[in-house]
Amino acid sequence: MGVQELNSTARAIQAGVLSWILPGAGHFLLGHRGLGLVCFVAVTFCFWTGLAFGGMVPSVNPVTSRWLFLAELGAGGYTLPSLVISRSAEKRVLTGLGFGRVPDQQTERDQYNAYLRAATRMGYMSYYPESDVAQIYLATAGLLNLLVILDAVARAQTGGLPTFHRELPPVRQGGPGRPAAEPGKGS
Amino acid sequence: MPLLLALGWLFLNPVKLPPGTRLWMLLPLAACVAAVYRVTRARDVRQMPRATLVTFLNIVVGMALIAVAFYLVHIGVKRFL
Repeated sequence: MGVQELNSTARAIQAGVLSWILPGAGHFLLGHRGLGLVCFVAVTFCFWTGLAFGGMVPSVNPVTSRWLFLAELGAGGYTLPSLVISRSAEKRVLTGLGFGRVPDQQTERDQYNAYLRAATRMGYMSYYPESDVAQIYLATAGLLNLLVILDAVARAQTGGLPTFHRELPPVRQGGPGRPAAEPGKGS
Repeated sequence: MPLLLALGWLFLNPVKLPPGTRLWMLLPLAACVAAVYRVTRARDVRQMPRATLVTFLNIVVGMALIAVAFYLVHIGVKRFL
């Protein structure tokens, strides 16, 4: 593996990890500041709108919303701090009830209902239609950020070309679609 | 600090959706999807506004047509079954 290839791999990993922590940061690192800003605004808006309608306790919860949590992990830099806050709020509810963990919905139905009632009393729970909107927004934010990460990695490896550059029409010199930007000098 | 507390309260205590706005929540979501989709196909940020608008309209019109088609199927099923 040559030094240049190693550099491009390191840059791709760096761009991917940065995008995972903060949407659009990978593009920003590669010099595509405008594209990075678009990614940041789109993913951030989706994630925090979803969280505002769903609330952290039911929406960022690997126990009660496992699949949603997996989708949200695409935007790791937002999900992990939210998880810490969500767990501490959930602990407050569980401590008030004298439970050590969230009761199982199937086998401990009465305890689970008591947990739901206590969390609702504290204003943490969301119900239809807000919970539906929240789930869609949060899952979309996480999955959109996966696209952002892949695009940042692709641009780092190809010197600035987008993920689907093979499907794009050829560039007209001097036109709006100018040739791929050099890393660090892009849009 | 008060801002952080306000943000913490907002995201811990979910806000209510105003009545009748659930359907309209499609529009910002479609705009975000269109923008990110177009980022993966843009060589330059100057290509973004027009391409994003076209994709946004494609999504919204497509979803509306699907909704109309399902509504017609629903009406048909109700009438003939």
